[in-house]
Amino acid sequence: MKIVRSALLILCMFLFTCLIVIYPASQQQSFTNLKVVQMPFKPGERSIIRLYLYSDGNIYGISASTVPGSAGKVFRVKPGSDRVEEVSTLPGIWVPDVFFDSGVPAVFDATFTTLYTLTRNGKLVSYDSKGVKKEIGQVSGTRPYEPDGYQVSRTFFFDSAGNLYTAGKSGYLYRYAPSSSKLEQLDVRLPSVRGREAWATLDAAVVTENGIVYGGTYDGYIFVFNPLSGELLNLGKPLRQQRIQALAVSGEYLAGIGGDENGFPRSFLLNLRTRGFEIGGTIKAGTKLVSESIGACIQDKNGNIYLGTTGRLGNLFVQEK
Amino acid sequence: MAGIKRKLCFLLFFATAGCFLLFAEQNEKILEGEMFPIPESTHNGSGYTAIACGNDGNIYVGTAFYGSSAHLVCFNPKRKTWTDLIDAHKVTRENGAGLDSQSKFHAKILVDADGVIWAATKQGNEDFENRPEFGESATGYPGGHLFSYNPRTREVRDHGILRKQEGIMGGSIDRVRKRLYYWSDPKQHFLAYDITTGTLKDYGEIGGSPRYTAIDRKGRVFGTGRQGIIWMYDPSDDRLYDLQVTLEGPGKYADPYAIALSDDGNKIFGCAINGEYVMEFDLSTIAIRTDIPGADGTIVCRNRARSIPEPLQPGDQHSGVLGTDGCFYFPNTIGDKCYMIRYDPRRPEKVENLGVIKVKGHPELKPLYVQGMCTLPDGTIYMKFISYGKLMPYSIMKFARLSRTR
Repeated sequence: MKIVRSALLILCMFLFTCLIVIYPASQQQSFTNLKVVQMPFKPGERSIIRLYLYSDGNIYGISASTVPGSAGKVFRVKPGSDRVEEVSTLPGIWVPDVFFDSGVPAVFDATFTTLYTLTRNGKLVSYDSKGVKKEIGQVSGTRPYEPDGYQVSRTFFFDSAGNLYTAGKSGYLYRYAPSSSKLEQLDVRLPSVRGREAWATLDAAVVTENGIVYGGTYDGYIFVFNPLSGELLNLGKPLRQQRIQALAVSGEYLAGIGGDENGFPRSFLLNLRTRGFEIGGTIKAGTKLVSESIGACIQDKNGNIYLGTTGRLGNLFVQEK
Repeated sequence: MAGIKRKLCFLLFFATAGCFLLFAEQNEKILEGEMFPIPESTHNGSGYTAIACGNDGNIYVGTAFYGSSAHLVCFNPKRKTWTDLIDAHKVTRENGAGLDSQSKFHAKILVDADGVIWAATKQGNEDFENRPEFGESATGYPGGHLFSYNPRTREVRDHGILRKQEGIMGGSIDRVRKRLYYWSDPKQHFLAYDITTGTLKDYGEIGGSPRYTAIDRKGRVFGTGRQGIIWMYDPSDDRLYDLQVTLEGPGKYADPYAIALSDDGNKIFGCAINGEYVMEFDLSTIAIRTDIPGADGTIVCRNRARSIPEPLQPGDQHSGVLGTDGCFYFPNTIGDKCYMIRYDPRRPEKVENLGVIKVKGHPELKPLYVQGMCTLPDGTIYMKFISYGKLMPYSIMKFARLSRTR
């Protein structure tokens, strides 16, 4: 009788453990049931390359043109809405040459009074609220045997003090402090296989509430970085393909999408507690596979993840929390 | 006694009903065709849209050989012999297995004015949901090859992979501009291949997987895109347009599965899987407009005749072809019968059911699933039937002069 009771107790504990470990994992966002946010734009004007969460709570975005003779569109979507509305410009700073160029990153500081970008040959540049340009310094390097082939990072991130970070030459992190106008190369490198440091640029990044940064590199590595301590840890490479297209934090998980630009985007989850990956697979909106790469990703204040795809028939999708 | 009488009445009723049904079935029209099985060494039971009548009167067929190498074979109707023209792996020198193999000729076989045959491969046995052969596999599918075969010189050429890791589908030819048009699977990009220069242009996503595309006299190419959209490529301004369909006529709009250009070049006929009506897309109604959200313009589709006369209910309509008489011929498979249907645009109120398709000399076989059709200049129609679990050998069937001008 005692043995039976002990066996039952062990069984119950096992089942309970399974419930708290396995069940929550299956409830995390894994991009298999995206909802479409309707876009009124014609084919060829729908390649979404930028999404911004403004202080008014709305999401603003840029879709570039893939046909000659069209400039692209600027749009706004209110959280919870199922359609975008066209607007004439982004609120505040407006530099069309930067915003519509999918080959360079463009991010705002927290107050939306400064815009930061990298030029196609890897120079860090800023624009103030009046659109006045300031060249800050060279960040990117070139790839081996490509004297004009600058390996330019796709994005930036900020620390809690408002300092700007990106990856540059040979995979080193660069930090720009707006308060002192100081640009410096840190002694921190993005992860890469030895020999591929020149390709170790920043493809995607997300900052958690406690200031810890999760990022993805051009070669598809995921890392965690603490700006205060300067420690960077390589968490691994969930996909065989290169490129990390989108990252977002959802509860205990880092949700990501990766894949080559001409490849097939695939999702993954990183358990932030165990640091184990779950490979999610293809991305779906209803029954339809999403086959074009993600051009932009943003989370609204409610934790919903917005994804914009590129190409002739680019779309805006939302993965609700 | 009353109980016995009641039982006798029931028995009589059911016997009468059974005889009636049997009589009705026996009186159903039959359309017999001659069957020519495709050589077994070149396939494993199926093959799809890839069939065309060459300028030389031969029938060119692309097969599917899952996990292995697809073939382009040629049927000589006079000698009733088959020739194996292209073994995809032998020509490309690839040896991919499973999903990584060149295991299907699916794209429509295209015939140039000089008689040169164009064919293209894709991956087979697709895992449509996960696409493991694309991106994550260490081996992976290389991409579909474009081939040409010259019947006069018997030269086979491999023109290379059109899009890395993607198969090739669709197929239309512009014999004036010397261009081939396809779309890539799975990313659904519209592709134009210039025969003269050997160069490819990628126009981006079309949003759909049209089994068939149609090309009109102006060189404009049409196919189904997103739901309710017909895309159009216009060579005059080298652009893709998405046209929202405006429906006229009874019933609801269904995206067509098989389409064919009409004789006069002004319409495109279409039929849909389980589609209730034969459709006509009126090319004269194409309007490029700026006020259509998410699209570039509109096109009118008219639901015409019911796709099969009542009391039968519409079934699987997987293929279609224009006959030499200007009629649209398509199969309608309902239950265990495949009917040949003729739609005459001059009498659009009603289709003609030409009968249940049967194999001449083989009443035990069940020709059910048509995957491709083509028409010879004398009006003979060839249909390609898959075996589908040994219903019949994977074959082409000949319907002699079925669509001759009457």
